Amino acid sequence: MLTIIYKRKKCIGCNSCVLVCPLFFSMSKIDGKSVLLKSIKKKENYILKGIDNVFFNNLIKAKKICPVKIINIVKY
Amino acid sequence: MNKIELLSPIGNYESLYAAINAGADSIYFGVEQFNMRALNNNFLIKDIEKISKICSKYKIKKYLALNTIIYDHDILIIKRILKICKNYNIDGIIAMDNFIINYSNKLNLPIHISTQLNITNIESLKFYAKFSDVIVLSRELNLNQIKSICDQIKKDNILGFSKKQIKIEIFCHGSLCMAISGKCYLSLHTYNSSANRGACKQNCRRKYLVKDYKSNINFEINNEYIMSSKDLCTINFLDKIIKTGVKVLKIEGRGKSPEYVYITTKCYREAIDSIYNNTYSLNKINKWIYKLKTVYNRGFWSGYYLGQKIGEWNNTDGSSSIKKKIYIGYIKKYFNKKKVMIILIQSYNLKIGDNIYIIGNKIGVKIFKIKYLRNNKKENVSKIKQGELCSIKIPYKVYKNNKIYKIIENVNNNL
Repeated sequence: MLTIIYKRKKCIGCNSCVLVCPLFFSMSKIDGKSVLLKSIKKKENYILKGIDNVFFNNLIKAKKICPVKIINIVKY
Repeated sequence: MNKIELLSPIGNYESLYAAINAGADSIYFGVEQFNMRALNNNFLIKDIEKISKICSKYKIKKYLALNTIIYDHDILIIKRILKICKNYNIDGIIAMDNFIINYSNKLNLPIHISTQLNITNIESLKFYAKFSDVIVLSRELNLNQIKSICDQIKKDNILGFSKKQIKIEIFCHGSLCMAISGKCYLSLHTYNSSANRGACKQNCRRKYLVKDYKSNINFEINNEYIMSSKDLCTINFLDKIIKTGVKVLKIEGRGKSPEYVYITTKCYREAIDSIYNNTYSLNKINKWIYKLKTVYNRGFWSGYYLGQKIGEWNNTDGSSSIKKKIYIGYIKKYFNKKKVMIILIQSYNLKIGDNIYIIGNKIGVKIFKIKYLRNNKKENVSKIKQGELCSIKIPYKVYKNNKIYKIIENVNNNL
């Protein structure tokens, strides 16, 4: 299973993660930053747990393409 | 005659007070992800109110830079930011996107056309004058071209959006871009990190090797920093710039430190004042250039203003400043009546004769020379070591938790 950890505060709203992972990310029209869908906020981080391993390659693309490196994927 | 306006960059509250104390006429700042320094120090939307109040208190103008590329998902938040700017009397919006220009016009918020739009001729200026009050010319023009544009504005009486004559602004100091300002894709192509969304990774500032792929030959070049332009400095021909008829001089550097803001603003303030009271001299220029070299710089050149050929490249990684600051400690207590500060030395040491920066919110940057030191037993000493407390008398007000830095020679850059 996979967990996404997303440090939203530093997002610059470039839309790249939404382009490669529209299932998990979407742009907020309220503040122009990306939103990790269905995630829970813990302090500064947004966390989404229990993601199936089939999404691993796709999520790694989002992690790599993010210019400010705020998307982290943990496998367990 | 109205004096030329000096516009300073701020990226945090320390820089704001540094700019005020150094004599800036106005400041500009960015918020959230919508400015060309999105990766550096940054203010949030809630800071607009506070910055506006501080600037009003000190009677200086404040402008918000909203000069990135704007996408559909940014529209609502930009509208919100512009309404907040209107409520808190921000004096102008620095913009390049037509939606921001149009929406600010609706709100009656003055627009400054960003250098990102690269205005290089009078007809283009006439077009944008309908929507704006200040136009920042492209940094790639020379002084004759700038003068010609200013002369035509006077001759044809070209008016801006508020029906006053349009003002011309140019950059007077700070980093230059290797590309025509803003039109660079290096950072985007290599890191997907767009310079035009304020996320420039500054690839041009690094060392490169030029290699012919076919023959596998490395080219010999004198300077491996083949794309890193030196910094703009105009203090030695500022009189010529003022004569062109430019109305605003902008200093680059929202991503830079408070002492950079303080020293550059102070030097240009003194230079402008001396030109107006006829005391501008070579002697003073040399002193200012020395001071400017003590803070972050990549070596100086006159940019494109004097029509020199391109080829003024930097040859070091990072700053070429002749001085640097090292963290010493912070102010633990300040006695207002006695005007004495107690410093906790957390690293290195402090000696009589040392020059220090005191940096913090409310005071900005102060430069102070240590004339005497007292330890915690109230004995006069010549040196205080790490981990110890010391008390120093200081002629102006400072605050608890202000940080203390020692100014030392940047040895590597003096070789």
